[in-house]
Amino acid sequence: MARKPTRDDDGNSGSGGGGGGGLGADVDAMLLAALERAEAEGSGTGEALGATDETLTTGRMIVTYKEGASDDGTLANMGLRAADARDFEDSAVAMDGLGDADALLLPEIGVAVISGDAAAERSMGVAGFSTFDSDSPIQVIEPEYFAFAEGDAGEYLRGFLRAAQTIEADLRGFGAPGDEEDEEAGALVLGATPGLIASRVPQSSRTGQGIRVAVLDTGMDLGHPKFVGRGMVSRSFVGQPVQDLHSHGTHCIGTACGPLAPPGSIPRYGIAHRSNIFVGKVLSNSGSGATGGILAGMNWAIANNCAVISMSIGAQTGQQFAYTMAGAVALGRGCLIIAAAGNAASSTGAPANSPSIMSVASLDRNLAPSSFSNRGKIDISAVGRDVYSSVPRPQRHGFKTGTSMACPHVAGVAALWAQATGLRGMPLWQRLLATARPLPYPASRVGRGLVQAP
Amino acid sequence: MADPVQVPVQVIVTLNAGAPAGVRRRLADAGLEIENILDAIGIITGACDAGDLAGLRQVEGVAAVERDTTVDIGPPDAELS
Repeated sequence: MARKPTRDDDGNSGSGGGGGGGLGADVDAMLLAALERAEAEGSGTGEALGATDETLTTGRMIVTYKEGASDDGTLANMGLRAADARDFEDSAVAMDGLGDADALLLPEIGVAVISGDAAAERSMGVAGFSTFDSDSPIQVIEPEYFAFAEGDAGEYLRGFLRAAQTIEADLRGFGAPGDEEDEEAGALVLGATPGLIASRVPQSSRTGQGIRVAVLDTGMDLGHPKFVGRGMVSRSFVGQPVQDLHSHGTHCIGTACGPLAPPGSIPRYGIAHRSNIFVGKVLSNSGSGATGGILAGMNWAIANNCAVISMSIGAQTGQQFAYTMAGAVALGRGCLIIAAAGNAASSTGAPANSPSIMSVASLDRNLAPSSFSNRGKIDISAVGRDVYSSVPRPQRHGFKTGTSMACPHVAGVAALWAQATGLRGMPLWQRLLATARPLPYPASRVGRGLVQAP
Repeated sequence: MADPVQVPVQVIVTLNAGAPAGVRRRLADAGLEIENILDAIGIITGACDAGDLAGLRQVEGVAAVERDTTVDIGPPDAELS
């Protein structure tokens, strides 16, 4: 697996080693600089993996401000000349029109971009620039990554995969090969749960292949017939076997990672059906767990480079510093933590109330916010009422309701986006929000709206 | 704190990014019985006497010391989860 920059490694992380030019440097120039950087660092050490990672950073750095915080001269205090997107008409900034600015503030999304030259001068991207003291309005500074559209190779592989699936289906007697794509999509729309249909999952050709999805919950029925043959990595943090004797964890994993087409009359309920499942049991079979064990599960998922970490867990407490820190570290390492807002019809609980953790509200099937769904710090929403998914044997499938069920919808869709775009961490977070379907309700109830698959 | 000073409490210690190398020993010296070191996220969990909480917060490199809390999602047949 590719390594991601960490906040405490040997200084080889981020982009401190080379300049990506000024703020307005064009993408080709930055790519060229990145390749040169990778070549310089790769030679001598022979670390091909490290070199590959290095080419993914543009040299620019992304500053993310705490929720509701503004820059207030922080960048200026670091000696940076900052331009503000609000000074441009309609906040539409042409990157080549920025003159000699070192940084560009984007207050609408609470982000600033620092030029490669300015970042290199200040050795950003090495240890110490990822976290700030509690007074600072800055949440995190992290390298900017190139976003690659899926190229010809990906298209070819998808075609190959489709052919293989068609042949497999044919051999098993499910329909004949041919122009199946449209028919298949149509059939799947009819045969999927309301939550998947609302998030346009059946139309997506993405599968979550190659993406590690961790679900921190009550474990998993490891012998569930619909997950036979799925590689699962599992670990318990509660002193009980991973095997789920509760049902909550198996239900959440079913939504985020369940199969494409369960045979028989069962609708499709799983989203990232080819993702790699990481089962972290942080809640006991009676449904309870301590924060220490939950943090241990987060630590495990982050150390395993899980791009998506789903936490249908909540307590009606104020923001907890440890969760906020863990979320920020996760984003810096390319892991996105997604959590249920909670079911108290009150303020968002912890950990979803941390600014570095994505908070998910529940919608009813008519896409109105569910009456029980918490409010306030909400980033995005998905269907959470009467959700059909897997439960442990012998029952195998069943319905559950709550923000716990909305959360894995967002996690599964995040895995599809991660596969489709290569984005990780904060850029993946921003893509999920930018592509959400707006809903006619306040942001405090539904965030940016209904999560949508690529 | 309402607790008597010798009541043991479970705590979550969050370190600063640049916490010095000897922070674990200094936490132990300040009364923390270390149970788990979560390297990837810079957090140490363990137990201490309630009376030691203030001292742990003073250790260099410590960003926060919080009490562990319990999360409960309810029984399998709960109406909401």
